[in-house]
Amino acid sequence: MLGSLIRLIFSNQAELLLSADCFYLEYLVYGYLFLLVSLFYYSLRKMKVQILLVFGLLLFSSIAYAQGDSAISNTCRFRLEGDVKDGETNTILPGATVVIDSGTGTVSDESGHFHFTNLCKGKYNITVTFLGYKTIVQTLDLNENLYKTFILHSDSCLLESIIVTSSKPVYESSQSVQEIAGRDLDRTRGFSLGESLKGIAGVNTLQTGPSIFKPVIQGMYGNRVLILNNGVRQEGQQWGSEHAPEIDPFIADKIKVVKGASGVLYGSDAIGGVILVEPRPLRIKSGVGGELNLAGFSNNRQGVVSGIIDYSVKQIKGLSFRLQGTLKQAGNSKTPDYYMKNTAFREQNFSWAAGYKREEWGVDVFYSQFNSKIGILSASHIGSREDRIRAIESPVPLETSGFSYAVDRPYQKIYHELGRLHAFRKFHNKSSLELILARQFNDRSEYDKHRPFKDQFKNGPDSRFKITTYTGTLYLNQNYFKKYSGTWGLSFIQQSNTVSRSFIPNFRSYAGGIFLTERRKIENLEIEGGLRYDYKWMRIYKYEDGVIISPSFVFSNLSGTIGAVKKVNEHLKVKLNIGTCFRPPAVNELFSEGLHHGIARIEKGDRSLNSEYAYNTSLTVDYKFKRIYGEVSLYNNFIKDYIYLVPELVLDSSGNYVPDYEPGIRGTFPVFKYVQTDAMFTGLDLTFNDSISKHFIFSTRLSLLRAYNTKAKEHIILTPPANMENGLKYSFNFIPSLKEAYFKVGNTIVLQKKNIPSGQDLKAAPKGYVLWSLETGFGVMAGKQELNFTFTVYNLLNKKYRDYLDAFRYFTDEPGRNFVVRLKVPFDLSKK
Amino acid sequence: MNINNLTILLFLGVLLSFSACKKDDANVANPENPNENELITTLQVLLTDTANPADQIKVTFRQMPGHRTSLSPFVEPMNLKANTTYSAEIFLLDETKTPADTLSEEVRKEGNEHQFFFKVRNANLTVLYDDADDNGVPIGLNNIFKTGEASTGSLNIKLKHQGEVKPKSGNGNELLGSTDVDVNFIVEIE
Repeated sequence: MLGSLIRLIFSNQAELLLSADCFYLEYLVYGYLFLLVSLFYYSLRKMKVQILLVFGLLLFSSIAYAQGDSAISNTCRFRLEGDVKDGETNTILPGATVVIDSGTGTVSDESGHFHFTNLCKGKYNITVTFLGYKTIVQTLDLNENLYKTFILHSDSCLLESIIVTSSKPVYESSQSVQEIAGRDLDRTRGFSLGESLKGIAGVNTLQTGPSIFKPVIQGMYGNRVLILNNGVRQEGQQWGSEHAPEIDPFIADKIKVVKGASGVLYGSDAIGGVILVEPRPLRIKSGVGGELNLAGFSNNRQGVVSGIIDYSVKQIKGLSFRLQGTLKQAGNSKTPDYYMKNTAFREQNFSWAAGYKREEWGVDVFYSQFNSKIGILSASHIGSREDRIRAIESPVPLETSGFSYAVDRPYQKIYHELGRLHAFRKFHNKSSLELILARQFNDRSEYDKHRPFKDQFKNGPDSRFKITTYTGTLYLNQNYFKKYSGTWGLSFIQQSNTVSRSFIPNFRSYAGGIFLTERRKIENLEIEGGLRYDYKWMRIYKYEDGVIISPSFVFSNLSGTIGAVKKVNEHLKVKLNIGTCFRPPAVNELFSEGLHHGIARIEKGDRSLNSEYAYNTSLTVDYKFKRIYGEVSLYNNFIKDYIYLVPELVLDSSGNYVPDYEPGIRGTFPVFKYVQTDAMFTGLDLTFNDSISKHFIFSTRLSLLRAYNTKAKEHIILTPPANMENGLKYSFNFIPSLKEAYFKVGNTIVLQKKNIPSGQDLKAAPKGYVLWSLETGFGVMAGKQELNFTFTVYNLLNKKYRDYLDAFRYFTDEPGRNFVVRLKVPFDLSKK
Repeated sequence: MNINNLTILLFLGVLLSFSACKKDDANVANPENPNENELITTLQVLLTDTANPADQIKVTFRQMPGHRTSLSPFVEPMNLKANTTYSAEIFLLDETKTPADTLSEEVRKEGNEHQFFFKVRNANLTVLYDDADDNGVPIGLNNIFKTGEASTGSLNIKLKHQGEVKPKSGNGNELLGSTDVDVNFIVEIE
């Protein structure tokens, strides 16, 4: 019934949207659609419509509420927040009770987080309790906003009952920052990094089949999204849309997404946003502990094993070690009708860490290695334009197969290693100095479908890219001036790239940056600002007409940010941020020259391209009214000199501009060229939750985006269509042996991409779709051992669909129904 | 697990990563010459009049790489005599090497995975296969070209890499596999 309703809405929508050239009208239409869907849910749940009205009002006139009850005394304006964690496994503890002075109390939420607002200055006794754990009582002197992490130890454990690991003043970013941690992260185990982030509003993935996912933040991806793995810029060959980030998500216990241009703190390229992959801290308590994760997927018969062992030396307090590893193997994925030939993949990763930490200083090393071999759908590798036309027109892939774990040509083989040294020194006034040095090496080999003829080339890759990156960053978190605090820093990066049989050249580059950010608190208002200067020098080495040429390039830029966080009242917090960021053209945009096999077109770079410059404005509202809570973020990212690929036009004999085709020995191919324009990315990300009752939570994520080329006056292709995710979660406790048990039904609604300019894409955008999912999860004790199970069915109705952001949409449907079982086993081997 | 074992395990982990620590060996300033790789630059058709084997013509399609603005390929017209039977052999060359590599030999060796396909437009020309792979399916390196009355048209020659999907019997299937070569010649029969 819901499906038919949505279809009905969609079909009407389609007509409306086609006529909706005006951007605001389009948004109104989306808003209307959203309201319709939520209205439907509410009537379904027989919920009070008032809440919806409140919510609607919030969306469209939050200012009215902003006037609300702001008459809270100035002396009672402090905020105390923090996390509750398990001391043995270091995992978060949802559901712990936190009480201050036997009066106000709260319960830590799903991510183990709790907070109190509008506290008056003074001394508080804080009591943290959780069944099965020792109760903590601590006295706090509150004269500023505080962030506390409480670590609980199991009752049976006779160690000291409390260690407060961090006690730092809280700073709130004026940008929208959302994270996946705890149970939410457990639910994505076995997925790739990109896929794990899909649950965040405004984050999508650019796919190449069922195994390659690139994260998309507010419509931007690739070189425009920066990934910080353990504080280090991930550097591989990010420019390729079929090059997924080489990171094992099992390393992380928290993945954060900073949305919008974040150039000042993180450096160039972060136009769309930043993804922070954060490992859990090394073990503090002496002894051995860890976690084992297992996952099985029915669709591609994928198996995943991942383990982590932490060890803290008893004799030397503060000395800790870690060993971690993951094995993954998957076979061909299956659509509702056929197997996707050669989509098997495998992955082997490991990492280790060692650290010595004292109160005032610490030093640690981290090493990780990532190995993967990924099969590429056979039907997607084509030799000529004619082959491509036939492949695209065929309703089923030209090659399908049975099930197999074998990875044949075409495939990619990727090796990535990261070594990192990190050290910090804390000073008495809460200032600190932090240093991160790292080396990365990325080796990517691509094997085409057709082996070369001659023996000496036969077994080698058809293209190979090796890039070595050294990075260094020094941060000074300063607290020297009474009213101001901030982060100053220096950063440096050196890269050398060598390629073989590729359409990008060798290069060497050096870049440096210097930055300064400061913040200040005035009552309920926090303001922040920052400046950064970057300089990059790059020299290219390549053969041209038989000789080596080595042109050099210099890019230098100033970026800035300014923002404010205003706590209007206990219900509303408003964040405003204006930031700039630049991105020097990537080597493929400057130098690409040749045939791109996957899509049978010639891509040409342009050596005269300038840096892109982004001006990003975002307005984020955090809200919490009784049972509803969430975040609304409106953004506008104007990118000057936005680099994109368009068909090259030439004058024909009758004086008209026509697409250019180049003849060659493989036939003729269309020519695409990198050009610059101005682009405007405007959108809305919405997170909405309603704890309808003690047992039910309804949640929605909505992302709307309009990406517009303001010079050519047309929409930009390959940006996410409007999409929405809904879930209804039922938590139950009627089976006493199950801990944190729940059922969840969810759906994902993706609309058809509209307004695609003609001639830039090979095929019309696929239709919108609705996917349903079903999930149950619980913890259970097997003797003294805790086991956490999650069972999920993705694409419950085995829906046949294609996704606009999947490069294989031209050739194949997406995978069908998938049953997934996940098991997490946290363990602690220390002597009790 | 006792602590000693764990220490050993960690030590092994550290050792493994140091031994694995790969060096970027190639010199950035000495890029690879694209001509060191395998490229199909040239397709030649050697036509021999079966009645008069001394009468041979060679028709060439050539496209050399390495130019920033890639040049249009060099293509010779195929001038044939009317009402004549030619034996036509196809050569694939990599002319970036000296001497040129003959890749058509490898096509013959991998005959079970490859096949040439011919399409004549307008000209009075008939193309017949004159070779076969291990399964008796044509490869198309050796052919018979029969001309009729004087006419002008074109000939399209395609090489398909069909791997294991190449038919094991019959005359082949052009729709399978991916295209390695796709060139057009102007045919003039006089």
